[in-house]
Amino acid sequence: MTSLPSSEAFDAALQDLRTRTLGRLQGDFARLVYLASTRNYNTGRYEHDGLTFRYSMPVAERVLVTAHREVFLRLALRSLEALTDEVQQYVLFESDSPEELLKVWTDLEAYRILVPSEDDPLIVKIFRANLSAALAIVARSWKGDRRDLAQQFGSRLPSPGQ
Amino acid sequence: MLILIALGILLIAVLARMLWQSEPKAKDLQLDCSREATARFHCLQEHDRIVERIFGDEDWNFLRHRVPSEIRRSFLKQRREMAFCWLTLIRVKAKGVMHHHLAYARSFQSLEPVLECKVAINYLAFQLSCALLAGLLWLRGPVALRGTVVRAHELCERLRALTEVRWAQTTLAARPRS
Repeated sequence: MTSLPSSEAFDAALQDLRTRTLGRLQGDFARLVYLASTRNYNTGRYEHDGLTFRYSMPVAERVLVTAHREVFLRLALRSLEALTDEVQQYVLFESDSPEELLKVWTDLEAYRILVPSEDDPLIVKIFRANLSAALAIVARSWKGDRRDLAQQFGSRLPSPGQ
Repeated sequence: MLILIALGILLIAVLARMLWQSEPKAKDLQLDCSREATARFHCLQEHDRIVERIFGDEDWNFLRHRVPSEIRRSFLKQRREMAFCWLTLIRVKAKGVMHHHLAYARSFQSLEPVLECKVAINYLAFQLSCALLAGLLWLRGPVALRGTVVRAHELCERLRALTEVRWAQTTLAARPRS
């Protein structure tokens, strides 16, 4: 564990998180999902073994809270088009079965847990409304793409008589 | 002729009543428009971007041809709720500014009539602008109302700037002379 003063430790840990972990993820939406997953659903506290080991538990928690809020704000106030691109990218790169992911996210509204606990209610409302619309757009375009692919490859397949 | 005039008056009365009822109440909005939310609203750095999201037409233009009608309706309904919440917050903010101003003005011995008139006219213009905005929101929803919203916000900010002149004078007057 480093013995830096708390503000320096905070800056170093934040930089560490940004470069080592968040920088490797594809897009802000994947970063948001990752940061929300570091929050314990029962206690609401953020936990990260690597950061806790290198710095301390309070520093790790503060850093995760800050990074979560930062990424959330960046994403929540982005245009619907940009958010849809982010969701599309996440669905394509982070999931083995995009259809299932889209269905679960839409039906269970799993995206509700992505929001930091103490954020502005108006911004949270904007984010949820835009994300729900973005999921609907991505789901439709995904279905359309599959239909196009099926038509494209279906026509090349040999007929049963051949 | 008399029937037409009576109908006209009735129509105006109905519209005025609807406008009056359109004034949002925080409890109806299912959103936290409480005092704490208002305090946060005061220091929001992201205000312009919030206004852009709620009242701009960019998101709506992107969405309208891409999703089925029930999602479009739900999107507009949510935007309308957010717009009324924004209106409530800005009204609460202006009311708070006026409340402080009146409290200071009462304790201040030499009033400046010109400044007081400016504050009163500005507050009236702000209230009219909010009523117009509420009417437009009620009639056609929040999409593409950014211009009206920006004007209402500017009036609120001007009101705050004007009342701050009074607070600065009060503070200077209360300071002991060396």
